[in-house]
Amino acid sequence: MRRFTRRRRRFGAGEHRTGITLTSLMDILTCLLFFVLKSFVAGGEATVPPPGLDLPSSTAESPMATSLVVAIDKEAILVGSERIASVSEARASSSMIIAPLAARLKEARDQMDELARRKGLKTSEARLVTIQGDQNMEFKVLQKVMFTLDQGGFPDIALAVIKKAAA
Amino acid sequence: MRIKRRSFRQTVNSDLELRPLMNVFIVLIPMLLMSAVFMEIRTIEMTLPQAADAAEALTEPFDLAIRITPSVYVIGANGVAMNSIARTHGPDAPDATASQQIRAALAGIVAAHPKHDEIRIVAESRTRYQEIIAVMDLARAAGLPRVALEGAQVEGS
Repeated sequence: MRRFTRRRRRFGAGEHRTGITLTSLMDILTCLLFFVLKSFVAGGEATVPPPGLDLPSSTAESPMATSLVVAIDKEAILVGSERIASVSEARASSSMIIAPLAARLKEARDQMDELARRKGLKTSEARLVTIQGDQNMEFKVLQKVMFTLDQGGFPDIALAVIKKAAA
Repeated sequence: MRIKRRSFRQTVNSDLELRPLMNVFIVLIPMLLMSAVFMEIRTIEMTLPQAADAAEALTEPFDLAIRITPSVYVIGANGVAMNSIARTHGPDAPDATASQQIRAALAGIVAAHPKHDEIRIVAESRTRYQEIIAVMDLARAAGLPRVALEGAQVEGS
């Protein structure tokens, strides 16, 4: 009994180590963190298409550059995240130019030129537009959007696609 | 006076204190997962044909085009059809057979005209965007990286 009391005094009465071993969990989290960081787009422009828009898949390799984005989903034509015109109106129109889009492009071009002027340049050099089109979109709509872009002073066009493995 | 010495040893906890770091990780990982982009977006750069280019095309000795019609893909040069490939409709158009035939036909033309690297894709108004992109991919795979898009002339317009 005496011996037991001495031992108890030495190690502390009722002291139990109940801590959780976190080292293994830390290893998992560290691996996960590196994986997530690696999955970020290291170069070029990171962009997310509007919800409900399914981009076509392609074997193209060019990374996305910083540009004005025109998205064409199933219902609307958007510049950035702003809804500009409806697809059904654009399809039904007999004109090749989509008037609301042309007006918005003029605004965008003026803003770009103003920025370029403040930087000391004459006009904006970057006139690239990226089209994010739904894979089921009809060519007629794409053709009208491209024509409007060209007429609106944006002749350089890039088509956004989702990268697929080469066959 | 004799100082009384305690007989028990002082225990030192030598484990690393990982809980604050854990907390940081637990906040950081969901945040990164939410903002991560897992699908890789690429672009196909293209320039629209200008009026000067159109005039040039008339004088250019070799003007290669692939026309997407309702029933066939017509590969032709300078307005003369060289090859017709059956077209199937559906979300996977052009299908594997048509894709192989288009690629082989274009590769043959590229082999015969090694300096030529441009093709026009003439699509109808109801052609699906995915199909146009697929034809562009086939042209690029055959060695024709410069692609121009064109709308087919509607009969009677």
